[in-house]
Amino acid sequence: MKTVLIADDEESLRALIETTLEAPGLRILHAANGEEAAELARREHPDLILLDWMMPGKTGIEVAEALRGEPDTAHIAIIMLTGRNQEKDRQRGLALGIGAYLAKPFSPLQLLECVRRALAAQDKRNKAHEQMQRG
Amino acid sequence: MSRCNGAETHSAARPRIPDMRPQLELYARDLKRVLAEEEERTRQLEMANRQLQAYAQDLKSALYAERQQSRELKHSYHETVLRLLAVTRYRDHETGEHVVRIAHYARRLALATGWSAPDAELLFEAAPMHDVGKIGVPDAIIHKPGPLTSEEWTLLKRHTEIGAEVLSGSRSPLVELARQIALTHHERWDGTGYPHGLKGLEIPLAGRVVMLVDQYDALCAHRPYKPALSHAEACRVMLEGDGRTLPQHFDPLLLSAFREIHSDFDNIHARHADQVGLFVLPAKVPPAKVPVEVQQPRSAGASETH
Repeated sequence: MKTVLIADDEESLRALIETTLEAPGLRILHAANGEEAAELARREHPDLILLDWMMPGKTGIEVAEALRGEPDTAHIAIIMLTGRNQEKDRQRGLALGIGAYLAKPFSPLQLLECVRRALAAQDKRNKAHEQMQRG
Repeated sequence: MSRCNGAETHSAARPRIPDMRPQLELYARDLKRVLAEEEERTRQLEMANRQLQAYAQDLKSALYAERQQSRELKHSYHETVLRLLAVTRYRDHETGEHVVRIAHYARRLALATGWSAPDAELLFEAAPMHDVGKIGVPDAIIHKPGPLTSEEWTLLKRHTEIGAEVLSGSRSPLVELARQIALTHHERWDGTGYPHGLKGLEIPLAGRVVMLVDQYDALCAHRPYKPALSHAEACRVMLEGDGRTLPQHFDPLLLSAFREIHSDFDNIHARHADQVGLFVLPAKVPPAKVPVEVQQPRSAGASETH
C-alpha cells in the first residue's frame, strides 16, 4: 500500500489529481494548505507528496524545507507543482534534492509518469535502506 | 467576525472554471492522444488478427490437400498391392479368399502374441503377398496334379526367393515386410524348411507367423492329393503332428497362442470360405470383364489336367 499526499489550495485540482492517480493499492490524502500538508506528512508518512509551490500561508517550498530537516520525514519523495514563472526558484528546490517539477497546468500523462517514477525510486530507496539496516 | 454565512457559502460554492480551463484542456488533449493511440493499436491488432486468420486458412487448406493426397496415395498403393496379388492368383488358381484369410489369421495371431495394433495392421496388409514369387514358377509345376519330381520341387521352392526379389529394395515398410515374409514363410522352426533352412529365432517373426497360418489354411483346403481337413482335424495335426506336418515346425510360442485362439481361426475360415470362380478385386476397381477373363484359364486348366 502506497500513500500519496496531494497538497494544493485548489480543491477542484486536488479532485482532478486524485481521479487521475486513483489505482488499487494507492491511498490518497488531501491537504488544502502548507500547514495541513506538513502536519499530515508528519503523522501519516506518505511515500510521495505532490506539493503546490504557491499556497496561502506556508508555501510549498517552506513545507519541503521543514520536512527535509526532520529525520522522520526527510526521506519522503516530493514532486513540486509550480506556476509558469518560477524557474529561478527551482534552485531552492534543487538544494533540497527535489528532482521533479511539474508546471501547471500539467499534462495528466506526464503527471502519471512522474508519480510512477517517483514511487518506483522510493521503492528502491526503501529496499536499500532495509538491507542496510539488516546488513 | 460577523461574516455572512450565506455569502461565504456562495463564494465557496462558486465554480472557478476560468482557473481550471487550461488544466482541463490539457486533460482533453491527453485523452485525445490516448484514444488515438488506442485506436491505432486496435487497428494493428485487427490487422494482425486478419493476417493470422489468413495464415490459419492457408494452413488448413494445405493440411486438407495434404491429407487428401496421402489418402489417395495410400489408396493407390493399396490398389497396386491388390493388383499384384490379382496377378499371382491368376497364375496360381488360388481363390481370392485364401489371401484374405491369411491376412486375417496373421493379424489375429499377431495381436494374440502382443503385437501393437499398427504392426499387426502392417502384417495384415503384407501377409497376402507371401506367394507373389509363384509368378516365376512354370505353370506346369504349379498346376501339376500329381507328385513333383525333385527338380520340379526345387523350382517350386524358388518362389520364396523370387518373391523376395520382386519385393526387394523398397523404402516402404509394408513392401519390406512383405519381402521378409515372402522369403521366410516356408522356413521351419526346427530348421527343416526352405529356402535357407533357417532355425528358430533366425527366422523373422513375421515369417514364422505367416508360415503357421499358411499351414493351417493349407490343411483346411482341398488339394488334388488330399481332402480338406475340418478345423478340429487341422488343429490336431498342427498340435500333435501327422508325420508330414509336425509341431516342431512351428515357433512354440506362436503354436501355444494358436491353441488359445484356434476357434477364431475357425470363424475366419467360415467367414471367408472359398467361393469358386469369384475373383475378389479391390472395391474401387470394378470392371465387370475381369471375373470372366479369370474364369477362362481356370476351366482351360481343368480340362487339360483331367
